[in-house]
Formats: sequence, C-alpha cells, structure tokens
Amino acid sequence: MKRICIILGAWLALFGQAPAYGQTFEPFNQLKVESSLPLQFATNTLHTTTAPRSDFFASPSFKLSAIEIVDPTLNYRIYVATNPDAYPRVTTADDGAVTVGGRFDKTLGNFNTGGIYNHTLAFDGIYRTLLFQANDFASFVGYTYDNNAGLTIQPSAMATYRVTDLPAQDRFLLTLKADVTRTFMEKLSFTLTPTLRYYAFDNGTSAGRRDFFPSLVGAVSYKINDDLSVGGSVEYDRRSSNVAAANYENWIFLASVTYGHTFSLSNPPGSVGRPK
Amino acid sequence: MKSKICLGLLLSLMWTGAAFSQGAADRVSTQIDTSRAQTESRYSKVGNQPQIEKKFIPPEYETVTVPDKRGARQGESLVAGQGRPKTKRVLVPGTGTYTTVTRPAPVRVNPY
Repeated sequence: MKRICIILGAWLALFGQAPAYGQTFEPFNQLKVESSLPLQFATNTLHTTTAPRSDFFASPSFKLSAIEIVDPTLNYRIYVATNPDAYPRVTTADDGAVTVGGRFDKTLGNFNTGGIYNHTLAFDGIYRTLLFQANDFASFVGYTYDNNAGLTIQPSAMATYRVTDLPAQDRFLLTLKADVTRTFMEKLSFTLTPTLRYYAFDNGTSAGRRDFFPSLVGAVSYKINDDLSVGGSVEYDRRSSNVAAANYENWIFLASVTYGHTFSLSNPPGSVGRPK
Repeated sequence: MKSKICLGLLLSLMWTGAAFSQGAADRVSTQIDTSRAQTESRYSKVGNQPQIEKKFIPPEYETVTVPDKRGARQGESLVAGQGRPKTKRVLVPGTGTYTTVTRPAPVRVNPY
C-alpha cells in the first residue's frame, strides 16, 4: 500500500500542477470511471483438483483511468483499479486485488499494438492479508475485423512476465484469444471468447511448472445507454499442469451491471469535444 | 524426546501453513488473471467517448462570368472586338473551412 501511495504521489507531483510561465501543461485529456457489480456462481471456488466446492460470490470492481489521446491512433493511460471477491459460504476463497498500472495503445490500420504495466497487490480475504505484490510487464498485438454489418472478430496475442515478491509466482504467460462479437441494433451483443493461456513458472518452488489453461466464455450484453449495460456470461476454465495438484476445472456463471463514463478534461488535438 | 516431538509438530505446522499460503497465492493469482479478462471485456462496452475531429476542407474555386457593369450588351461588345466577357475565380461555398466529423470511439483490443 505504501508503494502505491509513493507511485500516486510521484504522478501527482509530476503532472498534478501547471508548470511555470503560465503555460497550461495537461498530460491527460480524459478521465474515465468504470465500475461493475457482478453476481457470480462458481463450481470450484478453491480451484481444487478433487472435491470442488461451489458457491455464489459478489465481485464489485472499480477503475479510475486518466487518459491522453495523443492523436486518433495513439493514446496512453494510467489507472488504479480494485476488485474483491466475497463468498458467503466458502469464505476461505475470499480475495482482493488492488492494481495501479499504465497502458499505451497504437493503432496501425486494423492492427492494434501496445504495452501494459500492472503493479498488483494480491490479498487473501477481503484485503485482509497481503499474499504477494506482482509487477506484470506485457506487450500485445491484436487485429480487428469488422464486416460493417454487426460482426466483429478480434484475435490477439499477449506476452506477460510477472515478477513478484513470492518467487513461486514468478512466471511467463502467453495469452492467445479471440473475441467474436455479433451486435444487433447497436444495443444487444453476443460475444464468444475462446482463450488459451500458457504459463511457464521459472522460480522458487514452482520452477519448471508448466500450465495449459484453455477457457471459453459466452457472454451477452445489453446497452441501456452509452454508459450503462447489463449482461451475463458463462465461462468454462480448465487447467492442465505438469504438477498434478494444480489441475482443476471450473464453471462460472455471471450476471452483472456495468457503468462507465468518460469526462473530457480538455479537447484532444484535432477535436472539439464531446457531441451534444 | 519431547522436544523432538514438539519440533516435529512445529515444522509440520509451518510446512502446512506455508503450503496453504502458497496454495492461496496460486488461487488468487489465477483468479486475478481470469477476473481481469472478464472485467476488461465488460468495461470495453461502456462509457466510450465518440471522437469529434475538426477537419479542414481544402478550398475549391470555380470560374464565373462577371456581368458587364456598363450596361452594354454582350453582343455589341463582341462585334466591336473590344474584348472578351470578364470572368473571375470564386470560392466554392462550403470549402476552405473547418467542419466537424464524428467518429465512433477507437476500437481497443482487450488482450487479457
């Protein structure tokens, strides 16, 4: 927590005030607030190989981002996000995470590439015991196909390296996925997301561990307006590891309300603000 | 003998505690990955601000005939060979100015 305060303090000190000589230096031209309130049900809350325990859980999430649209093809952002998981029966599965991070996106035609840094504090219980702190360094590339008739396909690949203060959690992660979305009347959308994650642990007691983690998510979303949507999803996860005790499978059913709003702090270059 | 039993018990408790802690760390680590993927997917669908761009339309000119201000008839002038009808270049209305173009919010890939 102390480290987050230092990082936030540094950002505020660097960018929180206008420079001298009366010039207006604004490092960010948008502020985005995002929040989601999902109610979920998981068939294997503790990710165990045998005797899975199912339970409902609530996982409210909140994210605040400061965004700079440099030009229509380049933007960067910094953010702080939090996401606890609270289980009414299997309370040993309670957890919480606080993330401070940054990301930049560059669009090259239909391709999108960028980098992400996340500093995460992972807690056991609802922010009760700090388990570890992780630094994730990631780069990704994605492609967007849009048939202009409601069908969008976005395949992407991301490579992440996680360094933690708990050596057993240091690992390389390769994520391959595709979002296939069909939108009807700009309000209702169905998304199918097959994902394959490959984990290679390289430190501590987990050194040499290799996990294959395929998952499939089917989601439906209905936009009430530009800022508010309701939706639901069904997710199937299966982890196959060369460490037998790490194998598990899990079904997750989710219903959620999601809110997001972007505030203009100033007009990005070449723009004149938000439409009325 | 008693001290050996106590030490053994203590070590076994410590090992169990460490194993439990590592199991919890592994579970939370995976949970962070899967929930982040889901959350970012939901976030990507709301609150996206359309982009309004200021676009400059290059000036276009056309040539128009200027009516003779002296009131002389065109036919007379031509017959007399005193010159051709006068023309001038004028700016086509709507060009040479700025206009606003609204584009949907840029598509952002959710790579998680």
